[in-house]
Amino acid sequence: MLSEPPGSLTPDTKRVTQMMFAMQPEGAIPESRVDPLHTTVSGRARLRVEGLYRSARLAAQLEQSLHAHPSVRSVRASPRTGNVLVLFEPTLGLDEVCRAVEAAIDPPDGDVVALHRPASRDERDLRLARLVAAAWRRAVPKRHKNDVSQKTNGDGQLIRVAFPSDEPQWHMLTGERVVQTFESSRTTGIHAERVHDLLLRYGPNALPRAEPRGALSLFLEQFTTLPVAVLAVSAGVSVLTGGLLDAAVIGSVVVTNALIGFATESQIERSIRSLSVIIPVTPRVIRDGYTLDVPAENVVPGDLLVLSRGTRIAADARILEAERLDVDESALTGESIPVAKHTEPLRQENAPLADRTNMVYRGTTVTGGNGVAMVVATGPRTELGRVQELVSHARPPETPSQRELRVLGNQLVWAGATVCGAMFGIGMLRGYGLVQMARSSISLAVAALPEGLPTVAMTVLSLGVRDLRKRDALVRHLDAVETLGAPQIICLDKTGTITENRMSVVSVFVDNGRQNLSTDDLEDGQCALEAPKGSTLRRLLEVVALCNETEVEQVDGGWELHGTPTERALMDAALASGIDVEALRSEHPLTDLQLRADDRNYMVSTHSLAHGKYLLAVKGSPHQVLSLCDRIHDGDRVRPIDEADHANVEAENGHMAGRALRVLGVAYAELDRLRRDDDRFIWLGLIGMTDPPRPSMKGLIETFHRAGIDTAMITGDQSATAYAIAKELDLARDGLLEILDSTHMEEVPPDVLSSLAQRVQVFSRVSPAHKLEIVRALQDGGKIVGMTGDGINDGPALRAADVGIAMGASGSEVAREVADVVLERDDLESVVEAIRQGRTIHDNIRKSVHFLLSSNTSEILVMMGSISAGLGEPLTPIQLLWLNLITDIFPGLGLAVEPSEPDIMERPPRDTDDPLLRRSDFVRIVLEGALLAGGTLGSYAWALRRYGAGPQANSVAFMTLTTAQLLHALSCRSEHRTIFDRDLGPLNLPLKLGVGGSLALQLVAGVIPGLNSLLGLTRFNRLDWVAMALGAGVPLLTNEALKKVGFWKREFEPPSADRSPVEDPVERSTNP
Amino acid sequence: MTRDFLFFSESVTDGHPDKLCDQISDAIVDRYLQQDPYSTIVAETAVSKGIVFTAAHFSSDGTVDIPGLAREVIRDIGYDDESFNARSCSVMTSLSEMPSRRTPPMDERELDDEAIERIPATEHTTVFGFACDQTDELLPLPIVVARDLARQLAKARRTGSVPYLNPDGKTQVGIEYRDNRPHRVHSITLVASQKKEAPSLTRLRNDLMAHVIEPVFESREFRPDAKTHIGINPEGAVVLGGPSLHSGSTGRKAGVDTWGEYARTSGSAMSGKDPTRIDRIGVYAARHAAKNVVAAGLAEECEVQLSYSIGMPRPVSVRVRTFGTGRIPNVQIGQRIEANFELRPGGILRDFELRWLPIQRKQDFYRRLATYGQVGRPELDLPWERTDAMGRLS
Repeated sequence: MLSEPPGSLTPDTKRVTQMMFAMQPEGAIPESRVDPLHTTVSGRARLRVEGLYRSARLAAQLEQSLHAHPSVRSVRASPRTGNVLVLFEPTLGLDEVCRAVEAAIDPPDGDVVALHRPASRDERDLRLARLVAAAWRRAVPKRHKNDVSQKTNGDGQLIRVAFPSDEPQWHMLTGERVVQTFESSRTTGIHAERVHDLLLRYGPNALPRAEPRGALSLFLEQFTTLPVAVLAVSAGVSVLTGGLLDAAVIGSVVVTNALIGFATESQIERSIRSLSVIIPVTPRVIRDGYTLDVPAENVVPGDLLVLSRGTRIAADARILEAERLDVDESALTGESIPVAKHTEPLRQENAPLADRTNMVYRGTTVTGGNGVAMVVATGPRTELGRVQELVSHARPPETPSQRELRVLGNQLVWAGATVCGAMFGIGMLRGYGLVQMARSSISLAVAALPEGLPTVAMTVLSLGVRDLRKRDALVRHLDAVETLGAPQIICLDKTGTITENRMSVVSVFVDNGRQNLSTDDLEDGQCALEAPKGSTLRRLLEVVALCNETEVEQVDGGWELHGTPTERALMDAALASGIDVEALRSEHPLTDLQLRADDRNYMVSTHSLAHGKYLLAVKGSPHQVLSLCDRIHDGDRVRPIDEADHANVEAENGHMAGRALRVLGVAYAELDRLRRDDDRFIWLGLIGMTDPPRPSMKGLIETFHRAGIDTAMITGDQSATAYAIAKELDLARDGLLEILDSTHMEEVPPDVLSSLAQRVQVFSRVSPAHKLEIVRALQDGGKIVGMTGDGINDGPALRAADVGIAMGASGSEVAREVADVVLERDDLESVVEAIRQGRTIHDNIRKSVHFLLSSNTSEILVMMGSISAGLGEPLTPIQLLWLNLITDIFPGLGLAVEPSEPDIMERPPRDTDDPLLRRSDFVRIVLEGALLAGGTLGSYAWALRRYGAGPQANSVAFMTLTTAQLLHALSCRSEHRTIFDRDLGPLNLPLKLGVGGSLALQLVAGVIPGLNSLLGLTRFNRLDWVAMALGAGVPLLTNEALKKVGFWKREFEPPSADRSPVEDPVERSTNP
Repeated sequence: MTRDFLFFSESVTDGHPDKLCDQISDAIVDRYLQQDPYSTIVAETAVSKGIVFTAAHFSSDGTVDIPGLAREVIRDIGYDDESFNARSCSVMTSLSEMPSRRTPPMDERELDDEAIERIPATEHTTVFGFACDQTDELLPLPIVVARDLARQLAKARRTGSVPYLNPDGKTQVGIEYRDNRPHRVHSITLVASQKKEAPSLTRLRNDLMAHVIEPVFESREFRPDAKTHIGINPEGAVVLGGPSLHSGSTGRKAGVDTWGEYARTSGSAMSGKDPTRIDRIGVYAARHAAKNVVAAGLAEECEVQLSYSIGMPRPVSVRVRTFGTGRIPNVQIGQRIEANFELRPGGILRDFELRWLPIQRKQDFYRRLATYGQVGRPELDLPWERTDAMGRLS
């Protein structure tokens, strides 16, 4: 129960603890802690429960206990309000409900129903953490806009202050104190039998489930936007002014919109929910001295968590032991640099989360080192739990364009209202009747309202996500869909992304001679390498087989190798030359293995020989291995190594590297004793392996370049290797290849790195941890950066990148979790698809909005123009409403699913600072609207002259405007291609249906009795048809002609095929 | 014009940032020529703090790991403090590979005179060669002594006799001339950088006196006298020095490479250029001529000026100045030079075997030129330092 945790707390923590328990002093339970608030509906009661406020634990307890009650149908306890909502069988009395709640607050021992935990509970936390992180990202200015000083002070503004907590300040306590508090042990953990009690006391280590929005609330929400509210008011006014029919039509507009909005939003909710790749966490804990993996929800305070590289931390914990422990806390703090952790208590009270360097938090990931930590908070009481409480009822965050559209829509509501008010005023001045003008103004307002805007955006986004899913690209947040099209530079890993990560030995340099072998030889299983016993080559192959961690498994007729690609390649070569590796290994048992480290780029294995001798086998960076050698194995003798040997090796190393080979130096030594650091080795030779680029890569790189996206390759190889590949792939767009070769990128001042990085196509000798520095350097230069990655170390960089791309099914969980896009295949082809999709989505939102706004503008202009000119009302209110119903949303949706324009991947990336619609777009929208209006007014004027004011003239205007708008939808398919351009491609089906169906509906409406009289449609003669065709067709043709003559300035120039070389190479060779 | 004057020349150690850049550039030239003698390559290097920047334009069958080579040079020089070392520095390379090359490559050694005549200069430049009879190397005394001091300073660090030194250092020597001949050593200045944990300045001064200045002057005719001003780190200790203190770039030490500003020097860089570049090898040819003039006794001092124009296979101007020391008129010396010396770009390449030296010498050739002078250097047996054409001049 809610007793104080055993063990004494420091005075500092007493205060908060008292606050927490102030509402329910121990041992003094008040007569009734349950107060019915709202009980008028039978079977439904809202009760205030004392102590529930801000106590998620009690809420969970209430829910769990009451769920078990046979007559209770549903319980929802809110720690935010302190209330419980109970739905129960009406047979149950209110008193009994209250009693049940009382009992649930303070259940007698053994009365608690076994905890049932929906498995999905745990799954939501990551997504929500991401949402919070995303919200924070948006709340603070974009990182790459920050100046350097802000960046260097550790992104201070990103680091969230810890929630005011009712927990002790664990980071200020010593490790011993924490252990005592939980009566645990720092070596053996808690006793297993206490786990059950602790689980009862603290609740399961699960986060409260964020209720998905119910279908009804989702539907009702559709009515809460400003445009719809205005529509509702209009309907009301229509009723008052006697326009029952108008009200009905307005109502149907509202409902149609709401239905479509509801359909897309629930689709989005569904897909978002399925976006998170859910990985069950089974933390490793120590209990009773045994290390075991337990389900995350069974972790209790006092548990000892075992932390190692890649561990996803399951609960907030105080670190007791740490060995080079680094934790990626970006999920919680937004800070992408991993935080180094230690065990010392801190002094600072209420330190920001990011400064609590002796704590680890749920939802974060260990990126390096290992350690042990004692759990101090679980479930909703973890920092993540608190964050989640804030967002558990939040909607998915709006994407930038959604937000822009919402703001735009609201502005248009006011603009429309003003216009309609003006029309009303003018109409009144011109002496129209009050009621008539009111109805017309309202109808115009309804017609002009852009109620479809948010729906269109939502539809485009959700369809985009679905489409990418089909192409094996998993988009992990909705807002990522929009950024997908924006990257200006994509950083690609060389190994595994550009290449297939399959190595094979192709060149060996021993006895000052080079032996080349082709990969085919090895695959044929022939003895490609003639390596007689005692030769240097034989020795070299034996050494690389010994200094090798590959597991060799004999399968029928061959071997199966498990290990790193490099070592597998070496083992392959050894086996191919006929060395019996198993026998070799058993004759030379391994006694010690010194792996490569950050400061040591070679590996040494020690093997015991007979007579107490030892064989040392070394392989690694040629430079470093060579520097360890003082002798050389030359033919069948060993002699001191001289300058010429060094020069030969250097030259051959350069030559091999020039062929894009991965080169290892190999050496050995035989000693009478164990190894000392100053032991010198005998040089054997160089061995060169390669991992060629994927065949499709060159085309892909070209695609990126055509799309205006720079490419940068990131590799740990030496730069000559990188250069060869970069040259093969044409990574440099203008022939000048820039390579930044840096093993210690963190030492380069950030501003210098940023200016250097902008033009670099190859980052060589770089470790994965430097990727973050690269991303930041590029972002500091104002670039939108895409980054691929798959390893644990890549996590921070993937998160920091504007578009983080996790590669392949083989990628680490961390990479998949923080990325914006997860590619199910290792193939970069889907990145191109994703970018194309991102660009198309942005394009299509623009097209739809363009169409909606220009057609609405035309309606306003027709009405305003005619009334101002004294030509009467060209459209009746009901015609206006009908127009709105059939010409707005369906063609708009059709445009939203337009296929990509053919040159979509030949344009430069858009500037993300640009709004969805620029000033020039509005000019164009208004002008196009004016053209449409002009055509309609023209045919209306003609009809007026011929028939006089009346239904016939109205019908002509009505038909003309409807047709003109529908035709305009076709024009909106492309900003610069005319409908006659062949490369625009055929109409997509939804647009066909949208435009064709609407047109058909319009025509049919004219002949259906009842409907035609309702719409005031009359019969047309041949001349009418001509007038209408002209009125609708001329604006379309004018618009297309304007496109054709290049009236609208292109924001980009189409790339010309023959790009002239940037500089003349002859000139370049001139030295100043 | 007075013939009594003071002249100062400076030199720097191999660890000086400008020289570091020269060495990286020339090491790149060597490495390309070793793999493909017909490589064309221009490599320029700059260094600042922890960053080495190399721009290379090349066309070659060979491949060079330029960052790796740069690190090798830095390591060889001996930078190992944490502010600048071979491992942690960053190397930015800007590579542009020139696609076309002459096919088939021409070995100038196998060309006849007509073919040589058809190889034009591809640069326009005016270069100078100078020699005088002040020293055995036929170079002015100040630069020779300054170089020796710089070399000795580096040696004192490498051999460990002054173990706390860092690679960066520079020297200056002032010589008092009487009647146009060196008379006495006027002053000596050494600036040596040191490691962080170095002993006191007094100790440094004593050590450098004992291990640098004294050995250099031991065998010299001119030695510091009681009035010689000797300054060792006059402005105090230089901790670390090198690129972390001041930046460097290729081609900024033209005086150090040649005659210490005693005579005119062409402004363009020599290091980092392959031997087809006339602005590099023209200097060698001019020096060869001047040195032979002095060796033949035609003058005590001789400056040969060669001007080349793009497209012309021969120098467009050959001019000789002897500063009043000539035994025959300058014009006549010039005529003899034109008649007896190979001054055509193709001819220089052929006679000095410049493409082949990095292979023939089995070790870096141009990289060694990048420190302690591209002229003089008796230990390197440079083709342009041979006085083999003396006889033809008289």
